[in-house]
Amino acid sequence: MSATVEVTAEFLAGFLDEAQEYMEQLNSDLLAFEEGSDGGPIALDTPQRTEWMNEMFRAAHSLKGLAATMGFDKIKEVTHRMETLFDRIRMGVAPLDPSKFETLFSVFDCLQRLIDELSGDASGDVEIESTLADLDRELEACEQSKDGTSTMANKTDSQPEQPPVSEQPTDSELAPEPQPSAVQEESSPAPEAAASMQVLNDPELRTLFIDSTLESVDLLNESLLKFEQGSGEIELIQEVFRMAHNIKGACGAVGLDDAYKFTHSMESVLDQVRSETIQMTDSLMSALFKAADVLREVVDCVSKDKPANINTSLGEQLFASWLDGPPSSGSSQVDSGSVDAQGSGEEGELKVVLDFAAESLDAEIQAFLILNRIKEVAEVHSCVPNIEILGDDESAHHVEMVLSTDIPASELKDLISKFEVQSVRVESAGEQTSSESIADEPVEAPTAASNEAAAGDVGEGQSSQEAQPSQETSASQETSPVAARDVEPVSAPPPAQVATAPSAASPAPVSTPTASTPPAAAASKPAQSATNAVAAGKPAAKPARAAAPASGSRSGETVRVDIERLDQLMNLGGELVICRARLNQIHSGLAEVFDGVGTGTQSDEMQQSLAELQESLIQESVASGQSRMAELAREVARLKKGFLGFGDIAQRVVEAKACFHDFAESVHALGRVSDGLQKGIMDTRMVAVGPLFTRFRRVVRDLCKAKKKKINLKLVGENTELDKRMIDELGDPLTHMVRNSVDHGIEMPEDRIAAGKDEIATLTLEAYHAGNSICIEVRDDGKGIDHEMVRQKAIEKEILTPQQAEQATPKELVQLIFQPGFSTAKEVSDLSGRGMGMDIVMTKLNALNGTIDVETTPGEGTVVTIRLPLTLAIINGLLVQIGQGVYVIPIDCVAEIITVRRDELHFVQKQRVARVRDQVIPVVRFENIFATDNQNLRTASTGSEEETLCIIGAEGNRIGLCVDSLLGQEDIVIKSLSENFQNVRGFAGASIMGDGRVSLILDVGTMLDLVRENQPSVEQEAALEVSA
Amino acid sequence: MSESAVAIPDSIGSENVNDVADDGLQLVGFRLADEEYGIDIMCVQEIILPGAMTELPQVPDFIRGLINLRGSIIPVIDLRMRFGLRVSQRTDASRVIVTEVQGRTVGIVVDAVSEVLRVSSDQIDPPATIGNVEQAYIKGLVKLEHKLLILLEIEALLEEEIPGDLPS
Repeated sequence: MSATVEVTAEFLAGFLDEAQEYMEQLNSDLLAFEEGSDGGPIALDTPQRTEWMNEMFRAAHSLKGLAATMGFDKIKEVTHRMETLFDRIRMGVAPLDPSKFETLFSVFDCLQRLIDELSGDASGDVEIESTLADLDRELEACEQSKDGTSTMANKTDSQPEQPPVSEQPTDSELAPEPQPSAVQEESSPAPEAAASMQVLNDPELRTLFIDSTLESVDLLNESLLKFEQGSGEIELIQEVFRMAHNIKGACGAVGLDDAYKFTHSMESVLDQVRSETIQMTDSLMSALFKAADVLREVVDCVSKDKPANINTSLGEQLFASWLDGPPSSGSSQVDSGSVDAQGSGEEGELKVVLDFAAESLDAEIQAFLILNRIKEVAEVHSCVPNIEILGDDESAHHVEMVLSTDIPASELKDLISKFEVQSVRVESAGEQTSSESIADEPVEAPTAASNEAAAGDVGEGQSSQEAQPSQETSASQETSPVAARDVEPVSAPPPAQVATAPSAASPAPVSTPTASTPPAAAASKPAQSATNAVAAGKPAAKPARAAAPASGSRSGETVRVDIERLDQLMNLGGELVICRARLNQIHSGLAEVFDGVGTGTQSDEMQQSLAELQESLIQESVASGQSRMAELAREVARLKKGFLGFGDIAQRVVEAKACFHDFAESVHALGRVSDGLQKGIMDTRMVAVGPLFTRFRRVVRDLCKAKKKKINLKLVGENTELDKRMIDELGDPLTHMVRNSVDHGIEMPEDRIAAGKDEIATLTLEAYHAGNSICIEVRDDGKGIDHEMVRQKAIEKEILTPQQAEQATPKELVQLIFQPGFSTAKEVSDLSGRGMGMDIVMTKLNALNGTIDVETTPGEGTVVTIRLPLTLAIINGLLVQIGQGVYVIPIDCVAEIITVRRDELHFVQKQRVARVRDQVIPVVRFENIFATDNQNLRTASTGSEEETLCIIGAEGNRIGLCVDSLLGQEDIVIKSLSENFQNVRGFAGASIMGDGRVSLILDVGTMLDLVRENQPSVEQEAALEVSA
Repeated sequence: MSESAVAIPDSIGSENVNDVADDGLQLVGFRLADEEYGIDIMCVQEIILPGAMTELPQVPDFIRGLINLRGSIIPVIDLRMRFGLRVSQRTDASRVIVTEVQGRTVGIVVDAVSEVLRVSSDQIDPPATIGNVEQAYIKGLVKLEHKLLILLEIEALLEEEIPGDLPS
């Protein structure tokens, strides 16, 4: 592991991204716990809870790993302690009681601050001492409770427990650090199994897993075959190794722990082959093929939604002969040698009948293993069905073999019983006397074991499985220190092997690793497993992303791209749109020019008639003898000659027209491509709104705590996609909206009960598409906005005169909440009440070209809807001409376009108004809004009979803007004015038209403000007039 | 569109063939009304013909409008108006000097671009109130053989006129 990675901007961005995901994971899991809390300690008694805890542990672990690689010591220290605490809770050493929630939430906050600090959002040194102290206290409490409960301590005996408090995390954790945690993860398969189902429940991830693993298995098979057929190139083994490694990673990522261990054994063997520590033999080859079959079966099970149960130690058994450390194999050789010397005593033919549980997936492989094992001690004469070349349609659930051996039948039976068979019968083949059908104790079916484990019975499920290996581990400790250090059960000497080796009558050879090489090979294992654990630990927490890298050779499913690059692409796409508009304009210009051009035959006809004229003139001159005629004929001849040139030009024009047709077609094609490109780029920038919404679970939770309210937050439409930039910008306004709802909208529980409502309020965040825009609703079932209160406040704050306030409609009153400094709250709280919130929302939304709408029903609740364009960079605009200028009005802001006769306009206190259906709408001119006396900017059609009005603005706040002409509707690329200049009030930006000119984009919201400022109370007066 | 670049006259004025000192300046000389001005060539990005401009309300008069410079939207300042000179009509000699100051691109309309010249620092006198331009925008006076040239502090001028994003 590299000591420190230089923190480049790119790394940092990646870190922040990932860290944020972990933080969200942590928060959401803890919230989930809290939701289910009844005040007492929470037992991890359901698979779901176990999964949450595991998720949190994994998130903490991954975050720690990330921080360590990046060299962020503070984060590392905090997460390290947190991880230890989670692990204690996970292992049942410490209870997860509600008192921990607050501590943990504050730890999360501290982490968030640390992360923010890195991203530059927060500055200064974030203090972690108190957080560390909090964590240490919790950990100490754990220690005490652990001492108190000895039974619990027993369970964790297999864990290499390190006192976390005393441990110095700074003490170069880099290389050794991941290992202990890896061990912890390895040795607790039970929760992982539960996790696996969780991960695989996601259809997308499942497909990803199935696809990539199948591909890897295929490649693995292929490479093995090539190796077998070829001259044994080591590169092929490398490939096989890589594939096995990939599969292992994938299995680890989705939490298929058994499969993970299985592939791990496989990988370990392959590693030895690859390093030429052991020789590739035929039996190893067939073992590898079998392994590939098992893996395929696992994937099959996953795809068929069946539990993929393979025996945890299957890999060890299959590869037993190659996996065991040198000392044991060495000793067994000595042993067997001596046994061999005794020689074959009595030989008798025996018939062995094996039966496997019907649901056992690995019957075939088990049979194969048993056969292999038996071959070591006996000579197998026949085997039905033939395990070694078993066809697809044959079943290996019932196997009979005839063999001759010199060991007693009972010993043989014992030997076989070590494997996962349901029943074994050993009978003498010669005499049909069915000898005692020995021991029918059904060997614990693998299905049962893992089911039990999956049920969350951590301690039990494990102890029965772990007991044996751990004993073996200690037994083999003297002989194989390296293996002992590697606590991973997989690489420990397989129990079956160790147990049977001394008693084996005939040699158990197969592989004969020399005594000197294995330590080296074995030594590589711990290191490797550590790396693997890191690789596997991370994917486990983040399956979505991890699955892709784990599948190695496949190109990644997702790519992390700097948003700047996307912006650039977007800009270029915008340029392309502009270029296309320009080409379109050229096209229509040319089309006009070429419209009158015929086929070019006119010039020929002209030539013809001139020739005829000349002919007749010559004839005439000959006939009449008049020299005048001859002169004319010569003149015509000259004309004809001169006209030849024109004929040429005409021909060229005709050719040009043909070219123009090609051009027109290309312009058309370009249009399609640029549309597609633009849409593609836009789609690339789209991100689901889910993570943004999820953040509010925490916000609402904290608010509820502070305000002592009870709220159920519902999230709807989390998959709705929105421009990434927009998502980034929305967090702030949404927070204000949610706060407003919680603080002002939703009543106290007792008030709700009094009002006959459910005690628990519902707050809904919903996102959905509506036409070309996205709507986000914040909906509560609170008390709604009190119109009277708003009215009074408005008068109090002198926003409205009492008379105006009296006249104002509820809709207009509600609009007032967007005024800065306007609040109906009786007192300013720490959360809200200063009246700035909605103003901030409004400002932000204006910047995003969005609109906001409030609907409220007193007593029933409030719905605040924000409507946003799909993307920031391009809007659909209406092009209008006013005076010399061309302006763009965002189409979303245009309610309708009407033409009114001048005499239909009324004057209300010098303000012209138009009556549109039931509404009275002020009619304003551009030059009046912007108070300019520039002649070029004045509306030209002042004197005409009719006025074209664009009705713009939101419901209840509309004006009719006089325009000279409507030029059409177009996709407009927004360019900022402030890039080289400054923002100008009333304009949202500028755009470049097809003819290369700059047009200004009107900012309707600000224009309405300007109207209000220039002509105060226009609307009220208008309202007055109408009512009068 | 008439935004094709106009070549900067490469004939260096005959009156300043002096040796170029290390601390010398290269200037773009231009004419406004009857006076000659110069700005540091390092500020000048290019010189273009004035094309169609999009006028803006709500901005000072001397901001003539916006132009499209190869996809970027840049403001154009009329220096005559800025300095309160008599407003003249656009002629064939009128040019827009596109300057780049502190990352921003801004165009300046001038009556004519005369030459590119090199001056050494000893030719530059400290500013005195002269002509129609406030002293703050004058870097100095350049003494040439036959005339005086007002060296503008274009950065200060633009910084003041286009302060960037105003809080709305």
